[in-house]
Amino acid sequence: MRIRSISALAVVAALALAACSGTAATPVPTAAVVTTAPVTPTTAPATPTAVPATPTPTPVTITAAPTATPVAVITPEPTVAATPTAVPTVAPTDTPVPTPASLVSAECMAGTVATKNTGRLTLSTDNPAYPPWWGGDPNTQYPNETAGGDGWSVSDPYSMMGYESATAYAVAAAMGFTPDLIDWIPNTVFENAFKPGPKDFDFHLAQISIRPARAKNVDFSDSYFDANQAVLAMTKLKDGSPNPILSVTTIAGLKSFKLGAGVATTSLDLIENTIQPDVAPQALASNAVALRLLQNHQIDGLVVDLNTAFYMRDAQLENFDTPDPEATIVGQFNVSAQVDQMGIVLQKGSSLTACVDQALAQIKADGTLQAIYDQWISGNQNIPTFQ
Amino acid sequence: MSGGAGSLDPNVAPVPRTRRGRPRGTGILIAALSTLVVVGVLGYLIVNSAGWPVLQSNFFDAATFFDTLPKIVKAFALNVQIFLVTEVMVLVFALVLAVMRSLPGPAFFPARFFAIAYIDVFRGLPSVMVVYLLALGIPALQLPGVTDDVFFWGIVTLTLIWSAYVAEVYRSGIESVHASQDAAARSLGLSRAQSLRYVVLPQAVRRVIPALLNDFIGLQKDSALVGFLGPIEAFKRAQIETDATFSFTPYIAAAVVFLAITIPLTRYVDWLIARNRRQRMAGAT
Repeated sequence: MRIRSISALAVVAALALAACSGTAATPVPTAAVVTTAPVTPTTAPATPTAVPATPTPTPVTITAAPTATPVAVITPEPTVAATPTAVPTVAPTDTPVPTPASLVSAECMAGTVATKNTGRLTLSTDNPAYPPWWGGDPNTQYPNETAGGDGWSVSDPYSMMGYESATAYAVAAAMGFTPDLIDWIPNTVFENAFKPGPKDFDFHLAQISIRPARAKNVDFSDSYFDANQAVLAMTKLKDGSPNPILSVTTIAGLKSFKLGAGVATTSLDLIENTIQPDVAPQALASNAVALRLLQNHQIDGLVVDLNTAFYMRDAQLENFDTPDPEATIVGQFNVSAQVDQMGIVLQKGSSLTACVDQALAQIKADGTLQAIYDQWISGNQNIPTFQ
Repeated sequence: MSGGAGSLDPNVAPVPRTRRGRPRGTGILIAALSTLVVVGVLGYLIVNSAGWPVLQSNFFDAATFFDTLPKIVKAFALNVQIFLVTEVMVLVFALVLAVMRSLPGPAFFPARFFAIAYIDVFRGLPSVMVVYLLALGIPALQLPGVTDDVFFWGIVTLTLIWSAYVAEVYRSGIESVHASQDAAARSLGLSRAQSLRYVVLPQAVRRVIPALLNDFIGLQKDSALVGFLGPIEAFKRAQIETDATFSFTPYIAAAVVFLAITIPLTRYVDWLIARNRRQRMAGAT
């Protein structure tokens, strides 16, 4: 009896030790030093002239590979003028775009700005990463990708394909970071983007909506995308008859249906605050669960942002281009309160936030962001708007 | 030892003492003091650590807590529905399984085999997997006449899973009742079923009430699994609020709500057991 109780104690002690060491607290950062970079560009008179042309070549390289085939002919970026001595290169575009003065100050350029990994930019997004935000094939080794990849599924950020990937690379280029200076880390749990403590990334983008309450705990950049929400529904019911939700044209008409939305999304807010249905809305753990519930007719309609609705209808369900598609987008919302603005997430109080804002302003001003939008976001395809 | 029976003055009442000779009040005093010291030291260490302001604003933010608490309590009503309905079904179905397992004789082999296989499978599989397989898989068959309701399938799944655990608890209770009880009942002319119903089971179930309560509390927390399928119960509501504010305080609010139910329940059942023991062993120590 004594031997058994001792060994039992030993097992318990070993387990306790393992638990303690497993959760060994990461050393608490002592007095995190946050330097807010002064935004006034008065200190460096010479550098602004060297930078203007760098963002403009980016749209050319992207439009060179519009299809999803991961052809590794992504032309290398022209040498970035990190030093003031480089001559600004003129972009080889057909229509000469007048190059505006750079909106990115000297402190934000690759040589001087403080990042996690000096001289390199560490970016992050959720894994799996879905089109049209991301693209590429996880099995392909893209240039600048770490050998063996990082276990990306569905898409690969290193491919520079997809709206968010292209935007990230454009923002980085505006700050002087060429694609070979960029590292991507996959994020599997949504909450990791805003858990307390120092972040593993410099900035993170994953279709995260800017909300004032969230801005208390993280820094958001300016918006890089405005998203309309939409309702996706199966075309037919379980017994083959047409789905009644398809004839709904008003927000009030949606009240009697069982609607679902992803649990972490502002789509759920839209249901609860704007539609306010009579049937309790469903919060779904993931897109996979959402789609399965929709196909099982366990929910009548799924509220997602318009572009995800396109992806689900066209890529994940069948027959979208036939007269008898498996799913139909019932309509989209243009309720001003619910137009989602997506922003880049940074550490609270990060010195990079102002720089990212400047870079975003730059790519908006010189047309890069519009070109990215035109390439990766399909037009609204005549989806009616709910009244 | 001063005081106590030592003083022979009839006008001085003896100081009430514990068996160890310590005056009765000092035990409580020492306990309170010691607790204060331990909590005080721990609290001081935590509050003065470098990361405390970050932890406080992210996990213990009072404004967010009181904002989200009403919504979480409202969503908790769904959990209550789920675990109350499930618990009733579990108690019945698990008893059936336990009895099936204890049926003797070669004729009842299929019953025993089914019970053993069922318990092994449903205890072995992770609960989330079973929830997804049953609540998403069976409706995917689109069988006519079979409801696809997520709530229904969630409760069915939880019942199936927890019956496996509770059946084993019942079995341990049944086996702990001495065989002489069953023998005496049989010798009095009761059939096997009557002996089970009137002699063995009443004793067996009373013995395992603490373990049954244990599993009930586990079930209360497992009711959050139904949230994976869509219904917004307390845990899911906490997750939604967390993702809306990027603060983890709503989880603390949900934890408080769960504890507010389980702790009083546990104390109540402890009291019931103590009362039952007092009644059965009236007078004996």
